Order: sequence, then structure tokens, then C-alpha cells
Amino acid sequence: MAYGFKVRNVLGNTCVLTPDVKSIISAGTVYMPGFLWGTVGSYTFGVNIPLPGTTAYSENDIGVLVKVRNYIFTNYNVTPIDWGLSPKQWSYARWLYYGGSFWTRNDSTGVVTGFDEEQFHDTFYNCHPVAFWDKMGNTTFNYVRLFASTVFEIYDESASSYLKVYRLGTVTDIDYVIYLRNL
Amino acid sequence: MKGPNRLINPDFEEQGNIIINSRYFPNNWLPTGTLSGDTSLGIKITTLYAYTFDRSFEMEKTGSNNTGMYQTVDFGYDISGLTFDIGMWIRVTIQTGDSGVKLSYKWLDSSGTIIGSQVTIASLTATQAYTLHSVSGVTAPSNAQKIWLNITTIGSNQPMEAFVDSPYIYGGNTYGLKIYNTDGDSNTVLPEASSIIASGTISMSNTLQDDKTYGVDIDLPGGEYIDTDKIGVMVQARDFDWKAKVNILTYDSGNKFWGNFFGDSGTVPDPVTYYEKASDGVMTEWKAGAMTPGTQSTYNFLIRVSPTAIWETEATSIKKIRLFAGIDYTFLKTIAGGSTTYTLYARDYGNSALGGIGYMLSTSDGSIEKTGTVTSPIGYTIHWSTQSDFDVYVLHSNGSLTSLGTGVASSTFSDRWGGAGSRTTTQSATWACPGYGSWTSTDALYIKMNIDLKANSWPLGQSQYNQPGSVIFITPQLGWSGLNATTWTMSRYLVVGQMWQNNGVVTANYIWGTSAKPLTISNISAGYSASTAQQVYSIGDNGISEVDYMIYLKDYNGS
Repeated sequence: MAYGFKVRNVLGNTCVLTPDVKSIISAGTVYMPGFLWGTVGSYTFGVNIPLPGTTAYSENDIGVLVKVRNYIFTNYNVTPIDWGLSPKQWSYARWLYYGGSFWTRNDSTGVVTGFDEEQFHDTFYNCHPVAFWDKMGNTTFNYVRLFASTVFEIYDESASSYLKVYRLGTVTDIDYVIYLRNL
Repeated sequence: MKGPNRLINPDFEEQGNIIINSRYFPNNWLPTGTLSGDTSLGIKITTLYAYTFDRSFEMEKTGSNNTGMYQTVDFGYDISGLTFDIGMWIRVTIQTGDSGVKLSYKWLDSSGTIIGSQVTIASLTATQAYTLHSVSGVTAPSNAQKIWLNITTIGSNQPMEAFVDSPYIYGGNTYGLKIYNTDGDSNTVLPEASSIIASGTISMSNTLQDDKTYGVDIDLPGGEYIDTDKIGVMVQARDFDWKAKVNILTYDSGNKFWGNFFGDSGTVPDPVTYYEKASDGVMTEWKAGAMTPGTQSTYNFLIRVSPTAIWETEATSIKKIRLFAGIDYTFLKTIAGGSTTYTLYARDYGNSALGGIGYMLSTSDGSIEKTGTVTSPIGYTIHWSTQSDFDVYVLHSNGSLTSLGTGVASSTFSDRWGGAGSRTTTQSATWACPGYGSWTSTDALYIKMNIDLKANSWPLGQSQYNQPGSVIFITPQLGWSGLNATTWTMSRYLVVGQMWQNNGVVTANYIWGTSAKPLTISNISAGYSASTAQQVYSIGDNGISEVDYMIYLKDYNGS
């Protein structure tokens, strides 16, 4: 390597700084907001972390790690279906809670749209928290949008399709680190 | 224009140094204009009005006066010829007549004298969503050394309400290490950047810590406590396993099957132990039902499962990072509401909860001592008495306090003796806690211990000096459904000393943090709500056996 900056200790261990090394420019714990961005039809969700300066950074110069720290699991119904059998033969229905305010999300744009669950129809088979850098279809950035929520993986009975629906506001805080090059 | 933001505290996370009309003003910013009761301004701590992070600065105009805030960035050297970007995000929610807000800046010389004229970036007299108002590439004039940035309300009409966030002054870089390659890509090493100080893979234990919490501790560099604002941690599950009991049923003459998963009571190979995790991290074993045919309540249906790996800290400054990892299960279980009794222990580390700052009060004892001290002036050499009591409050999620009692569980230690030496005592007194009927699950307890040392000069009785002191303890949000009326026992550990010779003083140390030298509050009765869900974790080889982690630190000193 013909360039770079090498830092060495007395034991001979070294650290080489090169242009490809990104700097951590923002990191820590942040709370998720309690509102949506935008207007009806173009709502998005998440917390914005500003990047240094006013010139937009290329997607290739940015790195983001984000991780859910605390979340709650709520807005569901679980009902035993006994069919007149003994408890060990029961099955259990896992339904979205009616009126629970769920959202679908367009993976390309980040736009979230209200999902009308059907009472006693839409079954979930798991629920877990997710957090990620929401690029919202952009390739250059002045800020990083961090999305986080619990997601229910469901079968939408009326549409005969499998869906991910989000219960926004159930992830309270996240850990994140943002690193940049060409700072 | 890039580089670090030159403004200090641009995200308004630091507060507490300035209070105006009972509202926090951000540290490092100063107020402008005529401060009066008809104009409210200060930090608004809610994501509802923030552009980034969890807070913004609010300016509310309900009278004719105009106010705002400013910050002067002093570079300490001549910045003439250097270029800067200056801006701020502004949201106007209420606007009347000629009212509005104005964003402006000035160049100042080393003595603070303005150079040229004040420059208006934006003068806004209409409502708007958050919008960036800024200037780019402005050049500092000759002799400039400082930049003054101001946001203020304007006009004579009211009401007006605006929120501002993410102010910045970028540019003027005169330091840093920039490394280029031949393609023009660069890496700038700046002191503001964080450093990765620890990373790797670590095994998770199969057992709890001695204090019944769980996780692996990673030491931070050096021996000093480090502000958690400077620390970031990423941790994720690397290897995990989950365990539940499947109940397979057959139908269609035994040709077809379906299964349901349930909590296991110890029947699967290498049985799993499930733990409930309290808000302070203490883990309590939980047993799933035994799945007795015919008895529904013994079947704990598995509703969901996912791996969880996080770092835990209830403190504002720490010496080590606790990594927690486990498989997070939610089982169906009918849990009746009820009450239980707690003992709270004062701990050695800080806790910043709901706007209050103090030392942690948790449901588990610690192993590190912490000492507070009050000392008489020189010449007061006779210990006369050390009186202590408590002020007890409910700390609400909005940061407000409701008093349950002041000066309660008072106790006086009045040993007197001749010469140098010290006396050790555990003072304990009771208090009839009245309970709190409006308790909500997001509330915490905020308890202030007051100390009053009385020391006499020699000859005895010539004069007496009172030296007060206090220390605050705060619980995390407790998740309780109620706080019941019971009689609390409140104990504290004191060491009182006399230095008898020339320049003698009397000292009272109040110590807490360990079972040998505790500060405890016992017989606290709290309610918990009925539920149909039981959240538990499995750990180690029956949960998450390994995690990958990365810890990074600002202001790392290389130790």
C-alpha cells in the first residue's frame, strides 16, 4: 500500500489509517419518535440523524448499524380453539388485535400505509423487533433515517397473502452507529 | 462544507445549567431579548416536536416581548478568509399578525465587536413544517474570530409558537488528519470521531451473576467512570438455541399431524430454565406449566419467540459494559393481579430517569461502596449529633414530582466523646408510607436523604455549627400498578469522625452500596397488573451462547 498513516505501539502492533477507513461520526442511543413524517399518503416513520455539513453524502460513503434496545409486544389476541376436545388437543389462534393500528411499509420508498386488520381473520405466526437504515429510495443523504418497530408476520386472509405489518411506536429506543468516509 | 459542527450542544441534550421561568434552557446557549412571564422558551423534550433525536427548542410568544437564544463560537484564532455553512431547522406551528421568528448571525472580532452588519438568514411570518434555513460557503471577513448565531421571536402580535432543531456552523477546518488515495477518496481523522475500543466474540454464561442479574461485563479503558453519552455499543446474537415443548396431535386416522408449542416444565432433553427479567435486570426463575391433560391452566402456549442482545446500563457513568443476551419468549398465561413486597438498595452508580439525576435504587444489593461527606469548619472539633431523614417523591414520566412525605424516618445519632476517633452506626427508622392511589406503571421513586451534622467548638458549648448535606436516589420506571400503604423501614450507615488536634474538624460520612454498608428501604408494597402474557428468557447454551459486539468511545485517551 503506497499511502496511509500507520500508528505503532512498542509491541509492534500497528493500526493503518487509509482513505477506505470510515470514521464513526455519530453513535449512541436514541429514542424513537411518536409521530409520522410527511402528509397523508406519503407518511414515513423513524428518527433522523443529521450528517455533518450540508453537502449530501453518497450512499457508498455511509455505513450504518442499528439495533433495537427495548421494545414491547402488544396488540394481539390469542384464543384457544377447543373443538370440544381436551386441553392438550386444543389449538390456538393468534390474531391481530382489532383496532390495533398496524401499518404496511413500502420497502422502496419507506412510505407507510395503514393496514385494516379483519377481526378474527388475520393470523400472525411470529412477532419480533426490527431496526434498519431506511433509505427511502434515496442514494445521497443529508441525514440518516433510522426505522425501528415490532413487525408481525401475518397471513392476510382477505387478500390471501403473507404480509409484514408494523406496530409503530413499540420500539422505544435503539442503539446506532454511523460511519463515513470523504468527511 | 464539512467537518464537525462548531456549535456546542447543538442537539440540546445537555441541560440543567440555566432555568428560565421553570424551564430548562440548553447548556452553552444564552437567552436574548426581554424575559418575562408572557414569553416561554426552553427545551421541549418530546420526539413529537423534534426534528432529530428526542428534543427541540421551543419559543412561545404570548405577549409583546420577544426572546430567543444565541451561541457565540469562539475559534480562538483569526478565521478571516475561511468559509462556513450556517443553518438551523425551523418549524412554526402558530403564527398571528406580524409575529414570527428570525434566524441571523454576526461576525465578531476577538473582543466581541461586530464586524459589518448582522446578517438575516430567514425571517419567517407564516406557519411551516420543519424547513432548513441556511447559508453556504460564507467567507469570514478580516479580523473575524467569532461567529454569533441567534434565533429570536419577532413582531408585536401574539400568539406565536415555533420549534427549532439541529443548528449548525460547519467549516473553518484547521485541524485533523486527512488521508487521500489516488482516486481522491479521503478519510479525515478528527478528535470528534469515536474510536472502537473493544470488539469481538464472547461466550455468554449459563448462570446468573451473584446479584441475580445476567450478562457479561466488558471493562472500559482506564479506571475512571465514563459518561454514557460518550459510549456506544452494538451487540448481536451469534449462536442461539430455543426450547419449547411441542404437542403433536394426529387426525384423519393418524395420517396427518399438527403441533402447538408450549413452555417446557423440564421434560425436553437438557431442560431449559426460563427467567423473568425485572426492570432493574434481576432474573427470577419461572416454571412453565406441566401440561396436565384436562387442566388448561397448565398449558402455556408459545405466542412468539426472538433472540435479544442488548447492552444494559441504568447509570449515567459506568466503568464497564454489561452485555445481555437471551432468547425472548412470550407465553400465554393468565396472571392474576396482586401485590408484592420489595426492598430497595442504594447502589454506587448514577441513574438519570425521567429528568431526575441521582444514584440508583434497585431491588438487588451491590458490591461497591459509595461515600458522601459533610464536614464542619476548622475549629469545630466535638461531634454533637448527626441527624438524617428522607424526602420521598413519586417521579412521573413527564419529570414532575409528587411528594409523599418530607423529613420522614428521621433519626439522630448523638454520640459524644473526647479526643480523636470515629464512631460507626447504622441508623434505622420507620415511616408510614401513605401509598399513592394515582400510581402508573411509568412512575419511579425519587428519594432524597438529608443529613444535618452539628459540631461544637471547644470549650464545649462555646458555639455550634450546622452543616447540611443531601444525596438523591432514583429507581428506574418500576412498572408497578400501584404503591400501597405500608410501614417502610429506612436504614443508613454512618461513620462520624473527630480530628482533635490543630485544624480539627468533625466529619460525617454516609455510605451506601454494599451489604456491609447499606442504605436500604424495606417493606415497600407494590401492586402488579393482571396479564395474559408471560415474557421470559432462556440463557447461555439454552439461549444465546455467543454474541458479537463492538464498543466505541468518544474522547478515548489511549489508555
